[in-house]
Amino acid sequence: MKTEEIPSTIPRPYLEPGESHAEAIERWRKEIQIWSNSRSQTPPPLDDETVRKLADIRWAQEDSEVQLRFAGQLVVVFEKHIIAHGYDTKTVLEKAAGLLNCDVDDLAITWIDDFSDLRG
Amino acid sequence: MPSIALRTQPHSFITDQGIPAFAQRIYADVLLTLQSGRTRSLPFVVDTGAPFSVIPWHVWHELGVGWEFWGREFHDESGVVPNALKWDGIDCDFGGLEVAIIDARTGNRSESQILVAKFPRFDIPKSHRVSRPLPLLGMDFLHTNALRLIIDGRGSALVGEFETP
Repeated sequence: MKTEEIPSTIPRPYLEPGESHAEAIERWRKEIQIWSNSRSQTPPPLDDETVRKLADIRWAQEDSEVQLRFAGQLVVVFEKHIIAHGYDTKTVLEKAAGLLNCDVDDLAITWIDDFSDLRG
Repeated sequence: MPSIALRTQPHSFITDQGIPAFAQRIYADVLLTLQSGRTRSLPFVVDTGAPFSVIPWHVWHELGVGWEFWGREFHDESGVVPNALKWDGIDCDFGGLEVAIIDARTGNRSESQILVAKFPRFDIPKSHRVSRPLPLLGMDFLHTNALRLIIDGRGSALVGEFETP
């Protein structure tokens, strides 16, 4: 099985010689804070495309008709319309990309939680 | 102390005895970077019973989420702990990635944070699937990024937020 590994760009925890596990985790947490601050003092605003996708996802997750019709399924949303739905991520994305003539990474996809697996 | 509002989703049931039951989940909208370099926001269930986050196979593999591999076994003083890195019976890899949380009230993104997660190596077999499992945001996320989680049940529905340093 191929692992989708990417080059290290984030702080990774590791043990220094003689260091306890707890000390290593504390050092790592401090490194994360420095790293996070160095990424940007003020987080950049979301671009228009991400804002549009978020609005579509929010609509799908709050619309009662969508909740009822597509419970437990994946949905691709565009401008408050369900473009494709189903249970297989790749199939749903490719179908929507074909219908909208765009790249799969351009699409807003989310899950409609049917609360069938409560785990508590 | 800045805060990041989380979303609540309710679901009403009724028992066979006619008793109403009100289920609620708290979600965080997490901004992830894909291997293509694009970003995608996905809802994660905030799970106070999960030590680590989980990104199911159908999410990380099929959406092409970029992450850094940190291992595929957990060891402790007794040796390999074979079940500790399983999720729903599936062997997982362990790794981390950069994320941001999107505020449910304002739509603004948080500063960059580290998400440490289990990445199942396979999909759940269709025969065992109740529904598509949702990604989980485990308690490690709070400690790693020095966040405070507040869940308030005093109102008509749960309200949740992260407070950042």
